[in-house]
Amino acid sequence: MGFTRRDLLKFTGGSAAGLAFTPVPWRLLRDSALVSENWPGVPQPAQGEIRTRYTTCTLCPAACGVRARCVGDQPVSLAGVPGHPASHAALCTVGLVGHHLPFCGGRATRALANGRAVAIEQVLARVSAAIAQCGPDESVAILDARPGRAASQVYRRFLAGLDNGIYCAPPEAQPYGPFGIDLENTRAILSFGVPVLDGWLSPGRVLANRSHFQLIQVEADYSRTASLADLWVPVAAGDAAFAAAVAHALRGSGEDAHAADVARILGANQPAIAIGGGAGNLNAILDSVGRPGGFLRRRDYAPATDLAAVPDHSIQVLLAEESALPWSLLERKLATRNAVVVALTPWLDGYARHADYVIPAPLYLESLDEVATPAGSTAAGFSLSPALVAAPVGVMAPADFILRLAHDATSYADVLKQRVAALKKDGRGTVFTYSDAKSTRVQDIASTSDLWKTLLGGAAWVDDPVPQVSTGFPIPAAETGDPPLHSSPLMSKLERESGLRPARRYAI
Amino acid sequence: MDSHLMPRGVRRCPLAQFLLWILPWCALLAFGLYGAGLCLVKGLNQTNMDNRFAFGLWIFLDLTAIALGAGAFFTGFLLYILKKSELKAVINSAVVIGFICYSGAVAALLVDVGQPLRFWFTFWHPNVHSMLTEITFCITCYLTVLCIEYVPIVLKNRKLRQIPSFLVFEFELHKSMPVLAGVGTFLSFFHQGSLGGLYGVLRGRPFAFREGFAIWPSTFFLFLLSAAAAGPAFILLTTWVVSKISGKQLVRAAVLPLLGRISGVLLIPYVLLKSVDTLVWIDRTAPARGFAAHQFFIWKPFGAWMLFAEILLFGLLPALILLRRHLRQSTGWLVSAAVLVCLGVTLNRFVLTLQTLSLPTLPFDAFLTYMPSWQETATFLAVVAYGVLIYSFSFRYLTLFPEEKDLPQPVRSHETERVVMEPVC
Amino acid sequence: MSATQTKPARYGMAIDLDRCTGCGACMIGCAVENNVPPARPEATPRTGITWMRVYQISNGAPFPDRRAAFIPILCQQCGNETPCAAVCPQEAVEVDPATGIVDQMPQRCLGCRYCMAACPYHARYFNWWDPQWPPGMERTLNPDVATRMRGVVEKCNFCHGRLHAARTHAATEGRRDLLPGEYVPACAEACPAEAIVFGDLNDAASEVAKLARDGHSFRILERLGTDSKIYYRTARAWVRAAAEEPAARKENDRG
Repeated sequence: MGFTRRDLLKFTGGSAAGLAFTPVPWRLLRDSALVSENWPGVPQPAQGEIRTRYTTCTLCPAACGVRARCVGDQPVSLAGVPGHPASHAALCTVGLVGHHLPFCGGRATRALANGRAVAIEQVLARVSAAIAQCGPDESVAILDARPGRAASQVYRRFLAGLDNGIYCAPPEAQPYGPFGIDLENTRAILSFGVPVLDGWLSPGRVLANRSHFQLIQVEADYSRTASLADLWVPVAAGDAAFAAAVAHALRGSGEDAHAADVARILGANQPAIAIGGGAGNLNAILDSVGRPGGFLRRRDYAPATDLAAVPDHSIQVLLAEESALPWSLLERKLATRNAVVVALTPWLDGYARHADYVIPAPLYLESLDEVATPAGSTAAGFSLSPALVAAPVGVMAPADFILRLAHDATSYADVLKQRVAALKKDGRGTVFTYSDAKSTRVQDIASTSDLWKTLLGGAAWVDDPVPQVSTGFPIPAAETGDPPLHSSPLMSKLERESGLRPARRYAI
Repeated sequence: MDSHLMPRGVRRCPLAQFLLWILPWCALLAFGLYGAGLCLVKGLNQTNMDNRFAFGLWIFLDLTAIALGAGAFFTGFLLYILKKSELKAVINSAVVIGFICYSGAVAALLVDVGQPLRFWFTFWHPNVHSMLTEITFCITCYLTVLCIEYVPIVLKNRKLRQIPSFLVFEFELHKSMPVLAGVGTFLSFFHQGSLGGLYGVLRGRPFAFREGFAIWPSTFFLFLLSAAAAGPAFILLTTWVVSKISGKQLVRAAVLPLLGRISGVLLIPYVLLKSVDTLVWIDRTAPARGFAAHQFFIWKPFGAWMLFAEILLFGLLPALILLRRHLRQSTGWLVSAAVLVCLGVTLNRFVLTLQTLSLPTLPFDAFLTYMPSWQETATFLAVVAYGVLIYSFSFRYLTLFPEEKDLPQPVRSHETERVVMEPVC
Repeated sequence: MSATQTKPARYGMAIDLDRCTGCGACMIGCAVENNVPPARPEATPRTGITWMRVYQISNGAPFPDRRAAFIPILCQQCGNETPCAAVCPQEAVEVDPATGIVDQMPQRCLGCRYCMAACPYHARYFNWWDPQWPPGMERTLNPDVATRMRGVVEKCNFCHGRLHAARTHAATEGRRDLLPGEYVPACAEACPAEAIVFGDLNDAASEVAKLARDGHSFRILERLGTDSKIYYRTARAWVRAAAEEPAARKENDRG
């Protein structure tokens, strides 16, 4: 008899039964676990030497110290620097993911002229020509996102060499002019719309002192700061009538119940300060200028022109850094015909959408940068922000662009070295090194190159205090006109200039 | 055309009509497999389950299917252990239904888990404390038992029994039926109970948590009792439905009322124990964990009416109907009561799966809602279609109702094909 | 374990709700440390992964007396009959007796999600999608934490990778015990308000143990008897009332 169908079935059945007694099916089963544990498509972290490197955050004027944990040269997490004079050991929610910014898409990587890629030299040539053609009533303006830096000096020098140069900066960048706030000794803050707990100064410093002061929040919206304040007065922040009512109440008169509450709290918790555009002359009444717990003057302040003060339609050439202000404000000031706008920005969103020329700038952590005095600091300050990752090819720092425009052969790095040399020469102040939390007097640092090396390794220079005079009020922060996108100024700025959007808040 | 495959002595509709019947179910199966395939390939984001509704439609339907499929083990227990010989009329159908319910549930579970390749981890690293380990083992074993019980039904097919080795195999298997029934009952006892224990042990969900006896919460016993009560009712219902669709008399007049009475007899202690359990829970268990019971019922539409509906409308009412002989004799009352029982079991499983997850536990949480996605619904419909197809083929080619050939059947004009008698060789 | 083994630790936290401003830095620090993938565009708050999640509560008062408080919720590391560990059919949840940390093994998880139903704090999160990062961002992954795959559950493990790193570092210095502050999870490190204090609850001298003992501290859902290791602190009575125990709710409080 030949091989029948029945034999085949018997053979198959027998083999199947026998196979169960061999290791084969069990090994295959176990191997399936390896497949599921090494699921295709899921990236594995790169291994490498773990290093700690230091830099300073440039995303907002708070100038927080940054400790980066790096695998090889790539930062994998950022943290604050314990003991940092301006920021304490904290970073904000955006600062904690600064190292993710290069991967967010929407980067400007090539110089653009009307949307088409060109060489930077071409842009330089065309912008120079535009500047040369400016008439007596046509100004050239630079909008400096972060005034007070060595780069800011570069911008001012360039504009000083022109007939009609205007140097502008957003008021929020130096909200109190030459003054800082002695937050450590303040006992009450009357805030007119300032997001004290949600993006004011450095979060580490504010929150370290939170238990020392009473917070009165005057604003129409139930913002995060309002919801956490000791007293929330639901009045529009710019309401001059209310500020006047508070002034009356502080002097002992007036009938407004809210104002009376405010005055009571301010009276019981001294020293007190008033901040925000609506503060008016309250700080004079509170006598908070030049006193501990109030506004203290510092050195090294040079005022900028407030954009609101520039006549409409008078700017012929505008070079704007990042997206420091809402576009609608800038648009009003541009000349109606042939205005030239150059956006010096890392992003394709924001100003780049409106600009004639785009110069791709490096992002935070990509190139050697600097930070000026931290917002609200009572002493002048300076830090370097060393690069931790490689910048994309083709980017140019805004300061380098302006130097080229000025036909200056110096590089931005040289400018920074000059700044450090000047610090050493002045011999004032102390340097706080991030790695060991020690402070050294500048006089005790041997040479300029030592100071440079120290700052490059992550450090903050802090000036000595200056004698105070009890006159004058701080310049109040001007209302920008547009309602902020978010109470956090940094989030507003990021949303303006990039494609990043914060997640909507949900109940669950 | 295929009459030589059909059981002797019964009439079935023409092949063309049968194909017309199964075609839409095949289409539904294909559509459902597509939905399930999407879930397997793209991941469970294809469903509307989320971190709050970790269990959704599938788990709810799995629990319901297994409770209704309990008729398989319970009928076997009554027939082979308690010797209630009238149930021979429906035991085959019950086994097929059980097989469908359990295999469908297992298939749905394989789609439900995030990593189906790791299904064997429970056997390799079992957790003796977990109800789900117990369920996994028991259901796997019981499905094996059901397959073994299904095999003789298949082997008794007119064509297959012509193969001598199959005949002998089937005969030997039949001798061990009582043992298999006993094993099945034992396994079923545990997994039906453990399915109740699944929620009863959740100390973090005071809505579902119950105290009990040793390691078993009261829901262990309540689920078991409700499954035992619902099983016969579901067998009753399906027999009636199949009888109506096929237009045949499938069982003697006494069988369905018997099933109804068994259901009714089991429902009474169930309703009693459930009521006691609910009162204990309202009075002691939930408040001891910081949750006043009334808080659970303030959310529309899950008000207290659901509790009353489950126990009274779908529990006590059908029990009272089924215990009255003259109502049992009336098909209308009998079937309606059976429907109520099955709905009651379904509602009970719903309350403990989906309502539990919708209720807030954290003090600052909210009440949440969930609606299954089309992929989830399609997968469920695939299981239904699969069940209908298996049953349809079994009904056509296998003897699911041994009494059918002895009962007078209404004559249908299209079934005038003669069944050719073949000699047994 | 040798006879000279130090006594077991019970790592826990004291979170000051009066300092928390709801900024979410703890959520971000946690996500960065633990290689949590960015949410897909189609993700919702109920399908996104946030091992640490900040909730907002209010005093319920009408405008303008309404005030908010923020509550960071993470795995409470339950010590008594840990609900999730008891129910996992594969024993993919391990309670470490030496530290009290409830550890999740995503490599063993089947994805049945029973543990998610069991957790009353909703501290467990499922990978509904394959984890995916924007191109290049995978370079920023933390090498001390394994990435997960779709279909498995993950949750806070008190930054176990940092514990291992601290123990290794201590071992290289010849120490068996960890110094205070040597092992700190990412959330505690990130909090700008220093609201999260972490340490060994078994060490009576530690700051966290002292804070846990004082009258302002409470645990959430205490009466469930989970023996959570996260203590929340507040001096405000309304915050404690709203956070501690389930209270009478309003029917329209829906999510």
